[in-house]
Amino acid sequence: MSRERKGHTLQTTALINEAYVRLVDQKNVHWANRSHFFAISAQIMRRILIDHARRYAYAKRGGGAQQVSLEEAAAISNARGSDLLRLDEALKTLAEMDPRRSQVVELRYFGGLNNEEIAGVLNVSENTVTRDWNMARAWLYQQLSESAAN
Amino acid sequence: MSPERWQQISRIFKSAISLDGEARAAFIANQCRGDESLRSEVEKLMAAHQQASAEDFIGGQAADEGAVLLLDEGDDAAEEQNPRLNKGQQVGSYLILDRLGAGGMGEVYLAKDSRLERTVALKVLSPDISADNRRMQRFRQEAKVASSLNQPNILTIYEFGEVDGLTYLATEFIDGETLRRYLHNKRLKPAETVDIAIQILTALEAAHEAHIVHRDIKPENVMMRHRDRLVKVLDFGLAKVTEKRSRAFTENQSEAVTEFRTTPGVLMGTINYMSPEQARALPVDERTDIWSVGVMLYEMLTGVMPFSGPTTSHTLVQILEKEPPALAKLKEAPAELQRIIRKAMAKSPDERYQSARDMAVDLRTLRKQLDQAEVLATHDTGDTDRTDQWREKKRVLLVALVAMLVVTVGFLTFSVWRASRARSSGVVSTSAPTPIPTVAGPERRLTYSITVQKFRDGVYKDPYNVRGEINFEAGDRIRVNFNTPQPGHLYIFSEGPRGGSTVPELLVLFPSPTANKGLSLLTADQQIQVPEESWFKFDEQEGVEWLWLVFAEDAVPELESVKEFASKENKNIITDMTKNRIVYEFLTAQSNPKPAVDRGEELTTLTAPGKLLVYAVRLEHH
Repeated sequence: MSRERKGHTLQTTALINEAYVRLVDQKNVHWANRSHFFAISAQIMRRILIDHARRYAYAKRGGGAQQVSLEEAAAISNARGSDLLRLDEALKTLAEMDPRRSQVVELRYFGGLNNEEIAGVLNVSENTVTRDWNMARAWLYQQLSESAAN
Repeated sequence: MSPERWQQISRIFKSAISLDGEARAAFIANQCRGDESLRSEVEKLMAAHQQASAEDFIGGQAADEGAVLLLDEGDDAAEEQNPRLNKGQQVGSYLILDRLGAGGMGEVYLAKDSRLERTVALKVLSPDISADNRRMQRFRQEAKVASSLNQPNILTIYEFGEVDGLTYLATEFIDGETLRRYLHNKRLKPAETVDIAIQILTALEAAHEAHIVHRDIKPENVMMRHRDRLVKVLDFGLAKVTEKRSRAFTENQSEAVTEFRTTPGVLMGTINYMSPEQARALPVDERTDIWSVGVMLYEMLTGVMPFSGPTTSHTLVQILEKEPPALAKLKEAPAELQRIIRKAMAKSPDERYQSARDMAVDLRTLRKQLDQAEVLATHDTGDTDRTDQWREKKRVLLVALVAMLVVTVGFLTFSVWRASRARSSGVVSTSAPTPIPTVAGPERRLTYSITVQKFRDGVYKDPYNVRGEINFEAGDRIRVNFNTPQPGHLYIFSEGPRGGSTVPELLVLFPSPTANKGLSLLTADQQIQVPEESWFKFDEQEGVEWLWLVFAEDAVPELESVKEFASKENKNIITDMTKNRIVYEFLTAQSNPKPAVDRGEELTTLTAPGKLLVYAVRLEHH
């Protein structure tokens, strides 16, 4: 995981701002502690990204008023967007079988936490997190390649 | 897939992953005997694992990928090519003069209002925003709130309207740039920093008096006019109308409060200016804006934001828990300014400035002092004629001083000479100098401090130094820092909880091949951290452990002989039982009498007479 990736910082924070204001304005959110906070923040991050991807996919299908004039750029992001949507679906399926592994992915991929921090949030050892991550990632990869082939 | 099946697969996967090639295949075959479909699933998953690692599948962060998505969606490039309005075009009573830029919300044009003959900035909303009720609500809010505030440091809003199917917002035109761009990672002088902050506070004072909290004060929302550096606060789009005014302002307050930004182009903001109470989703008031001004002051002075982590979550945790890096290192920041910033950035709103006005008063006073300081500085170096005169005077003075010194030394020399003559002739002189001994005899001194990191709620808290020997809890981790006031040989051992045997197991912690190149000899004033890279972690097993410290003027052969055990493979354990016993006997025999222990705030100093210091630090945990 490259947490130091520089290029998109500005855009990333932009996205975050929205995520955060949304989080803040959800009246009933009063997290008990930092772990809880990290967990919620990863969840919200996921929701926001998925919303965006969905909106984008919708606009691309000709829905909405948005005109997509730069075909090329749109195609690239549309591919990314649909990847995200499929990943989200696969994660939901995983959560039904194995909630913890699904959460490891959520915390790491959407929340940006490292394994040590995830171990703290889930109250398991770092080794367990690494194992969970390997298994979950392999399974997700498999699901996504299968659905892409169909 | 059933959860049972999943469990079965994951159990095999977990073990298989640590095996290679044939061993792995054999293991899988063995585990899946008689169940071909299970074997096929496990193998497919193993293959997927290898592919996924090779491709670094979901190895980055979703936000980064999503950002690309957003960036394209914002699509500045597209609008760059197809501006919706052209120069010379008439929109209602506005004549379009130039295009100033574009953001996610729409485009901004420079226009002339033909009715009032004034230049305005015309924000034209993109059609999908005009069609979006929530965003329109936000826009209306901004227009309403800001236009109700008539203050020179707040961007004036002229009109919010619709013409020919275009929705627009006409505002005062500022020929300038945002404070973000003005700062551009540079530092400002205290005087300029203070000037800018005072103007922002003046704007906020007006807003707060109208019971409006901005909630989103940051350099992106502050404009500076080129001509005169006049500061304008903009973007009241997230502003919250506090209770007293809410009815007058918003038909539906809950809508206004839950409103959030959804458009990437305008979203170039950050959460770094958010106050702790905002971060905690607690109700906010005027004092949240005070916090944000404090953060901006800090950034203007230092060029860096006080709270900034690798991800939002990390930044927010910093805002909630951490003190910003001390400003004291900045020589240019006057102590008073540091105090003002600290007060503005107090975690608890009650400890902050209670109003923008109070903070502005302090800053104005400071500004006057800065002016006076500058005036004094100018007097010192500014007037060349007077400076030359002063230099001349100094030279004369210096010559006089040197002359006096020569005379004095001559006189003293003469006195000493006379005194020595007197002594040699048997007469006792009272003026003869007597040397004062600085060292009472050989002694060993060693200082140490213990840094502890508590494990709470599943995460490690900020490390801090503890005084004395406290009780630790399972999960806590510690490191010990040593300083050698004098050169000598340092040996450190750890003694685990005593089992059945009379001689406990000892671990060699220092010297080790990775610390001090395996040498026990340290120079004066050397810093040593043990363990050198990691932490000691207390496990669940309760008991008392000891950390044995030996600091000797000469190398200790008994201890030198066990250095070889300080390796990772060995886990630092002295596996040779005879040597282990010899070391233990040495330690217990030499630890009496105990060295003097002086516990300071953070540092503990041990002092022992002679050439050898042996001490055991007690580490108790429950």
